[in-house]
Amino acid sequence: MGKRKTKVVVSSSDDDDDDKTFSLRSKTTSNPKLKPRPSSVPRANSRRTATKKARLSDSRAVSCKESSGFDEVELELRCVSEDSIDLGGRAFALRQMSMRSLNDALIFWSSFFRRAGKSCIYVFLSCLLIILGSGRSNGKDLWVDKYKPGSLEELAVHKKKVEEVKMWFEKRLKRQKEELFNNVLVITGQAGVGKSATVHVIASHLRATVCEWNTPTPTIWQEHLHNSNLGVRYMSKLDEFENFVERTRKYGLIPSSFSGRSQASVILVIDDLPVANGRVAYEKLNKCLHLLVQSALVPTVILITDCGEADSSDNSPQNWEELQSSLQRAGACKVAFNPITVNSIKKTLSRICREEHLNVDGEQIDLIAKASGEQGAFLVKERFARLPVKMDAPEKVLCKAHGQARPVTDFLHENGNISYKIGLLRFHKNPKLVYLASIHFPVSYIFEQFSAALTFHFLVVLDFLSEEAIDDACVVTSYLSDADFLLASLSGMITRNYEAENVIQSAAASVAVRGVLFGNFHPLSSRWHTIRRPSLWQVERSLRYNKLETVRQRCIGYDGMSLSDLSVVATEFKPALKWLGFRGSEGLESRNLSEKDIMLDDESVDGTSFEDKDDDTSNDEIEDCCIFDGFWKWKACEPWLTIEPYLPLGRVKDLLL
Amino acid sequence: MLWVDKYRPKTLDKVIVHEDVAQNLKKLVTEQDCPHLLFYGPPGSGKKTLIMALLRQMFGPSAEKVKVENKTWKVDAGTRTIDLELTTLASTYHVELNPSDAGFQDRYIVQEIIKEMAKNRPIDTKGKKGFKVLVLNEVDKLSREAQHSLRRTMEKYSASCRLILCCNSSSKVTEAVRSRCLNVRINAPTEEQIVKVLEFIGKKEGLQLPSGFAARIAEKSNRSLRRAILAFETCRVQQYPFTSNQAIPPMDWEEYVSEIASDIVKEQSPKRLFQVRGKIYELLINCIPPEIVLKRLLFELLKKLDAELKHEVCHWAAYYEHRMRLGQKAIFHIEAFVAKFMSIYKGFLIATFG
Repeated sequence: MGKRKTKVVVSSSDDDDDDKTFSLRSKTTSNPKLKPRPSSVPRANSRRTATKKARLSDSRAVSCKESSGFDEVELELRCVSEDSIDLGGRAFALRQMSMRSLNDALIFWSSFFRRAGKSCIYVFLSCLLIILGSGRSNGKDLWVDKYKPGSLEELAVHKKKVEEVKMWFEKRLKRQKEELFNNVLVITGQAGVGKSATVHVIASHLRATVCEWNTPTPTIWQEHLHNSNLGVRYMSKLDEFENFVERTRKYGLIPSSFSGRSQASVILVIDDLPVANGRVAYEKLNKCLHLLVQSALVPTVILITDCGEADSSDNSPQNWEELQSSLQRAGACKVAFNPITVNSIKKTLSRICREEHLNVDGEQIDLIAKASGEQGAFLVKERFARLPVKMDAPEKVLCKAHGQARPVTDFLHENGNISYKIGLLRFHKNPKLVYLASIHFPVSYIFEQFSAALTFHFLVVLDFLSEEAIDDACVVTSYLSDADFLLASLSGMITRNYEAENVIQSAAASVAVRGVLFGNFHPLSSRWHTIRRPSLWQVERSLRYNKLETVRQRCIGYDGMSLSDLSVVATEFKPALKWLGFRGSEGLESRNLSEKDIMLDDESVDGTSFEDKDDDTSNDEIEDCCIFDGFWKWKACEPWLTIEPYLPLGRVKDLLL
Repeated sequence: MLWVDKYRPKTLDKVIVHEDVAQNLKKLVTEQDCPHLLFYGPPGSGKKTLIMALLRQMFGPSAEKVKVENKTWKVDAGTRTIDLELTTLASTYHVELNPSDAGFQDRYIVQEIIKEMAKNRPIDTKGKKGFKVLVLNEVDKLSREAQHSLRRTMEKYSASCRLILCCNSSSKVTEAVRSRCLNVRINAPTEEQIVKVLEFIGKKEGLQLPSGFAARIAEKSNRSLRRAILAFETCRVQQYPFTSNQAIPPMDWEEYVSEIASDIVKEQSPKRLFQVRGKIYELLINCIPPEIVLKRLLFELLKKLDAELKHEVCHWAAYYEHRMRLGQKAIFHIEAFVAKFMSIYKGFLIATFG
């Protein structure tokens, strides 16, 4: 509960009203459904996390994170308002709310499990179908947040690098005013290596306050129109950044956010640069940064995320590199972070295990038996912790998208933008997404992710049905079929109407999730479960490969004088040729290959993931470079990422506990 | 060489099955003004054979001298360039291609590549202005956009270029395209016609055909001449002096589907459903079109089914087949059907046997 209070403090004072209602409501709702916390909860643990959180929030309380507080309030309000579902009439309620917000479904689900006496949280929507250990999942946050490194020792980053950064900070913070230093440090590294974590930890270590500049959400066209109707002048994000830099250069940091604490040393963190699309914008950004480097008053850290080769479809990587070198030329220090080694990840994980008291009770043997899988699950969590993509976005957006059952246009006008904004705020650190968004690629994109999530559901669902429940399976699959139908229904249109697509896609996602929730009347008891990639993707990939192969063989019919249809080759010529014995070997080969391809990663997520990686890279050649595919490719490079987004688990749990 | 190719009629005069169509086509060619053509009909009915014979009729034997080309085209699509790999088969007079290979990018093929091909017209040796023929296969699989661009191409370059379109179902070709073509429906050969062809081949190969054997093959072939001839040849390889009750080897994927069907009937549980999914994946990976998988599966299931249930099962099969065509990922729908079937079947079993 302490956390919630701090949250209210964090949220900016502008939305006072919201805060009040929020705190009020949360009080009312958290009571009725309160169940006594499982007594197995280790006391020390919760206290420790609480203190840590206090420390963390202390250091961040002043950080000028814009609007995140507001979003949270919004979301929770929704959760709260939808909370009054009659849990008894489960089926009925679910049917009734088939088009309403998703969060109720979530709440519903978790509470269902709670009632069933298994206080496990089914991270369903999130597609993270890991069941956190039963009885112990009392944490209010995702482990991602909970085990945010609190001290230098806990950082999984290489010691030398940390030391380097720390030295730099110490030098800057201790120096006298008249000494002229360059006040800018550039930290580069792949997504999730702990760049910002390091800065935050060091800052709290040195008792300095961190002030962040986050890339604002790109504006979509619709929003722009809406705004200009209201008389709000459009301002390019780049301009905003420029203004900001100008301000900081002249006046130091914004005084308002430092009331009363101005004597503390301040570190400015620029977390990802705004997107510069095109040469002109890029030059502008470059110039702006140059100025910043030359005349920054406070120690400034610029975090740049390496996009990796996956981004090669656009020209931004070169730009980023160029940018880095030009910053260095201007005198900025540069520290490059390497990807975290497996060992240090393991260390962190074992720490988490220890703190969660995972191996204290009778499940030990079980744990050891499933060590690999569990490790994998944690690993995923760990990775997620460090990944820039905040995975709770789709649900939020969905929640917004389903809030009202008004006519579509009306709805779009009012809510489309909000949902979009919230969605992207969560994604703000992800360069690729922001890049896309900057070229007016709205939320549908996020939903595209969601549709992938759908595939994922699909894969795992059957494992969670009990043996006898074929009827359930039938319902579930039919809902999934509906969802796919919805997802596809717009794909063939010439003029893509993104907003309409949003709605349909969110509806599809909702249908899928709800269908699965609804259909599963006889869930299996909770157990550890490893995460698997949807084998559908592998199937699709090898299908594509085989198709190419078949295309090459299509001259077998007609004496080479005409091309045969693919289906004919596959269904008639190939089998016949196999019988006849000549050129049949080809067919056999491809079948073997396909069998190898669809091998499910059942045993351990760990082992197979590397194979997958290889697969992916080889597959990249086949894939087309359209934007969507590009994204998939990007995701494919990070095998963990293929497991899709999550829900604001912490918050749902908050409400339930 | 396969018998299918060996005994394929090379000219319109030698056609056995669709003689009337062949004669009409011949007349069309002799009148010198050939319109755009759209051939449609079920697989194995002889569309391609007729097209090839028609080309030969138009341009003489040199139309058979073809070259397969696998070329990567760079298409400029506004902001970016797309590389499209496309297999074409070309003689001096005609080009054949499968625009639907490009998947969702098919419209670039139609817009850019076909236009490019249609533009330059060949010059006849006699100095006459000739026209070029573009044979497009699987037109029904083209996306809507691509078909619209095709309509434009047909109009604009009709002076220098004739299109011969070939597809299974004319209902999936837009009205606009259909109305600009002379539609030629090629129906599936009757079983008698198939028997006639098989006997003709048997005679040419010098084989003894026991009575009723050809008829059995024809029956099994589902009125596809290609299937029949291929099956005939495999029978020949399997066991020569034919016996009239000789087993006709089924296609391997068909066997696989019937295996799936018996799996489904044996046990109805999510676990089994999961196994079935794996098997369907394998079929799909081997490029067996999902529609055919579903159809075949239904067929196999119906064989094992009580008459009471047949109607309902068919209904659901149709429902999910429709869904599948509209949707993107076939597996969802096939699996939904299988689950539905399992549910119905289990309910039925419980109701009858308690």
